[in-house]
Amino acid sequence: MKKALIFVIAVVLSLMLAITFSTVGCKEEAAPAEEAAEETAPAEEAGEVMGPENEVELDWWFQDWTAGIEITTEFTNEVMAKYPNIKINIIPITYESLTEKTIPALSAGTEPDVIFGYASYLEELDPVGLLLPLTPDIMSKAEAESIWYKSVLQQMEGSDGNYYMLPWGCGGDGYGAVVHNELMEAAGVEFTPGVITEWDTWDKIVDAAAAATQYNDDGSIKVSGISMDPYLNSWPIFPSFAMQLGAQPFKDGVWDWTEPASKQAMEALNKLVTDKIFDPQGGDAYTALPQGSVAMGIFGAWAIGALGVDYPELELSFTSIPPINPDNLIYSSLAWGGYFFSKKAADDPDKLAAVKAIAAELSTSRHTEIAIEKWAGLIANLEFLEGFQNGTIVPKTDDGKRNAAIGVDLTLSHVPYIVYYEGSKIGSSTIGVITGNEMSALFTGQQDVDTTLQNLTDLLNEEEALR
Amino acid sequence: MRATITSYHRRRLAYRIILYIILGIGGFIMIYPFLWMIINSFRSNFNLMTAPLTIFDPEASLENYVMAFGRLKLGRAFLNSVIVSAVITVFVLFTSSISGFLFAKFRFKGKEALFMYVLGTLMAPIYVILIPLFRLVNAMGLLDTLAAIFVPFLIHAFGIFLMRQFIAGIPDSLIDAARIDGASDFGIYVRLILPLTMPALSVLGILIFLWSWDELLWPLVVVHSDASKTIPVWLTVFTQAEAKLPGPSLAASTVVIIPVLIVYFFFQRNFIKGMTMTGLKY
Amino acid sequence: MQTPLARPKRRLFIWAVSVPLVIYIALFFYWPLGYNVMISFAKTNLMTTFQWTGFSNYVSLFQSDLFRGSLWNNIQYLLILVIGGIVTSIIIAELISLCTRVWKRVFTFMFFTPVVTSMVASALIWKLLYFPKTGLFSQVSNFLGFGPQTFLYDPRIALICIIIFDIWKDTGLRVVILLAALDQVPDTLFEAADLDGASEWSKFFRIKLPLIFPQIFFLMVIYSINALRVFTQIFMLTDYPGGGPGTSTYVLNLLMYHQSFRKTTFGIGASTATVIFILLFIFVLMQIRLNMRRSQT
Repeated sequence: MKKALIFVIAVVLSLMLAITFSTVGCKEEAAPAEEAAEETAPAEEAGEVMGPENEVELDWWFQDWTAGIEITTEFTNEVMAKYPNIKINIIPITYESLTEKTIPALSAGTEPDVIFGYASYLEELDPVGLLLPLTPDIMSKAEAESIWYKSVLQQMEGSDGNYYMLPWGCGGDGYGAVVHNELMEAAGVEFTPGVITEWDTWDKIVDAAAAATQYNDDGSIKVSGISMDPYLNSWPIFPSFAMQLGAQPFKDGVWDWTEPASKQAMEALNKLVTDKIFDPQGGDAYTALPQGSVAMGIFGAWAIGALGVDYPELELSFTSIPPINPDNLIYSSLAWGGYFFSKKAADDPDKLAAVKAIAAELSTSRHTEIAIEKWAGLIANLEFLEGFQNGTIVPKTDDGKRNAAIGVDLTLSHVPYIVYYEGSKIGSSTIGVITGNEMSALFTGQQDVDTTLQNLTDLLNEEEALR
Repeated sequence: MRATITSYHRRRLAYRIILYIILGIGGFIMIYPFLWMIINSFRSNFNLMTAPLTIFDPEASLENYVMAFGRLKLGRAFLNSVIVSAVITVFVLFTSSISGFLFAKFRFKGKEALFMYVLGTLMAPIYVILIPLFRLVNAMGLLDTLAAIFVPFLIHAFGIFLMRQFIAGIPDSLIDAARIDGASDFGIYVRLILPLTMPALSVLGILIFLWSWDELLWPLVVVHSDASKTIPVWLTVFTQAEAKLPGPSLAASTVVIIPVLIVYFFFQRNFIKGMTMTGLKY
Repeated sequence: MQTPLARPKRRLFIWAVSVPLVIYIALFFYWPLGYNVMISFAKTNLMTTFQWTGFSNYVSLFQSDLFRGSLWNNIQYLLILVIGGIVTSIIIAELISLCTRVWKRVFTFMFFTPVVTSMVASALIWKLLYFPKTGLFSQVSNFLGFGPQTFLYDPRIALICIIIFDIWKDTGLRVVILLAALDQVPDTLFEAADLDGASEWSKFFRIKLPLIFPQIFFLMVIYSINALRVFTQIFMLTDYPGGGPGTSTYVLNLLMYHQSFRKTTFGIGASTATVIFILLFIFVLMQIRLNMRRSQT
């Protein structure tokens, strides 16, 4: 009897505590949105941005990728030199943790002043009230759209129509392939090492891959000509191809991947397996490529730098994946990396001034110039793109020049045609995981193309309903 | 007569040899992966991937270890693991022994109920409370700190149960004698109970330390930045395709496994006895 | 004999220990337990949205192919781990028990070695050993005439490969438990059997096996539980995000982890956790009841 009583009391107490706790999270969101609206007036200053009047210290989270930290450190040093009142602390954080850390921190109010993150992290949350809006608090919409591609800004648009992220760059996963020079040359394929421009149609890439494939005596694949593993990198090819062929996968809030165009796209990719150019059980290309059992891996442009560091003896080249239908350039959106700003700046004039100064500096080509020495990827900054193209911006090192060439080439051919699934509440990383899993199941022979497309449709609709 | 005995013995000898060969192969399979790990931790990424599996690699070097400790910051993770496991072990030993003392040697109303209340925690494995614990730790502002890892795990019902059993075996007369001498309850705990329960405490300590050292799911959920990672979380980086560097992962595994193996070699009995007591690893 | 002063101190000690104990356990166990059940009936990201949805989480869970697939994987894991693991442990324990004392210690030491090592680190070693086509195991299987296998990348055998690792890891623990059990079988029984001219085989099957059944049953329950909540092995041996080629090694605990901490749909994550828990509970109860019925016959 006594035991039961104590237990019941414990349960009741728990329920009471549970109910209290659960409603706590919701109260905070009403207030900040209104506050932010009132601060907008001072933002419209053309020309010189004044730094903060008093000394101010900002915490800055950045992904703990060595090159990225170096880039950010160099950049922030320049900012601090120009604006002596600003002190910036860079805090490295792993890629994995950014979602898990960022959202709780934002909700608990313990976020830093500047957060590097990816648009996909916050795609599932409405950023309104959570972050300081880029527009209109830091700059006007018109100004933002003149500095960066609109399609990129739109990835972080809040329900109030404002932009919430300042774009940094994007890896270009699935938009490019890294080629093992030796294997490709041994197959007798002609190409320019470094940045390959010869393969300007999908068929040409497939032909090169087919030539580079090597077989064992029993007919099994010894060296894959191309690999789509890891699927977390290569999945964007599928939606891009499907849309180029005319599919409209997300309409009126419902996903549908069963259109003939989508099927055609998926079959084109599955052909790599059925034509025995890609061994789906060959392991992930990032490890298999250096080993020499894959001739071409579908990665983002970042892989060239990373593989170069990990396996310095390798000779690699890069090519961007051409469209399957050059008359209809459409590409699925990828998660862009960029900066989010804490709404705490809205209450602190010095912090706000510092943030505006930083944003102004980030708006110039200078940041990309620093970055390009160590990183290759999709670039959102229009000033850099123009400058590189007309020769006024020249990278300092050979690596930098190569990275810039790769980055600009990818950007000009892809970014203006990036399409965002309007109205979807799912982030691109979720879409990526689901698509990748389905593709993996298809290629390893666990299901056929129709089932794959149906699964994709059903799973994505399930996800929409869950949000 | 003689001939039969000889052939019988010969058969038995044959069986014996087969027995030892089978067990020898089995034992070898058990140990070989660790030998492989140590040897290959000294080979560069490239060689591991491309060169055939030779035993002696002329290019053997420490570069994997350098990368693991340098760029990948294994040292910090190691330190974090040591701190977290030490804190948890100390606290669990303390709470288990003092609660065990309470349950074994004191009488009070509701003791049975309280004990049931404590044992109740054994019924639900961690993942059923994972999400709420996460919320709790977040609300305390501890997310991404070492404290987040150990704060919810300072009391372990199994430890309490074990210590209660053990302390119940201590004769009451000893305790009464100490009480007559005027010792306070806490004093009895420190001066009498603790020393007497050393064997059980050391075994429990080993268990708890090893368990908390290898715990993956909870730390994975609460800490993310390099500064607060424990070893298991740190090692998960090697599951991501782009980071699946064979060389450093072997170096890291060596660093993680070898110290424990060395201690195990010298304290076999304690390890084996302790771990089989529970029959399972938490 | 107690002096009057002793009483209040005694009571102080009791309160000083039990009150923090109660509060701590309520805070870090019972409240979370209740909270988990509570949010399993809601749709929340624990930060900005919270909305009661009744049983819809459970309904969508049971309708989801991924859940069913994961459940099936857990069941396969359970069957193969329990049967494979226990059979090998019994055989090895029996073999070791036939050795001389010195060799017993040597072999026990060798078999127990993987048990004390870190699961996470050992998994990484095996991940490399399993590397498709060029890894050590692949070369061995090639040598044995099976051709270079792709193990963890082959959806048909990926799960089994992970289970083999698991069996390897814990065999020593099972062996030691069974060895202790075998040691307790009284020698007198053997003398009687020897007199009857029994062979080693029948001694084993007729005498030892039934007598060590309690320990075998204990191991079955323990490893069933482990199989139903497996996480680390899958997480470490399959490439991020986990679950093996496609979803061939996707398990329930992984599902919950992804739902809660990758997609932040905590409500449905909580419902998955609750379902796993209930499954476990029922399963263990069933096994215990079966055992009781068995021992009554």
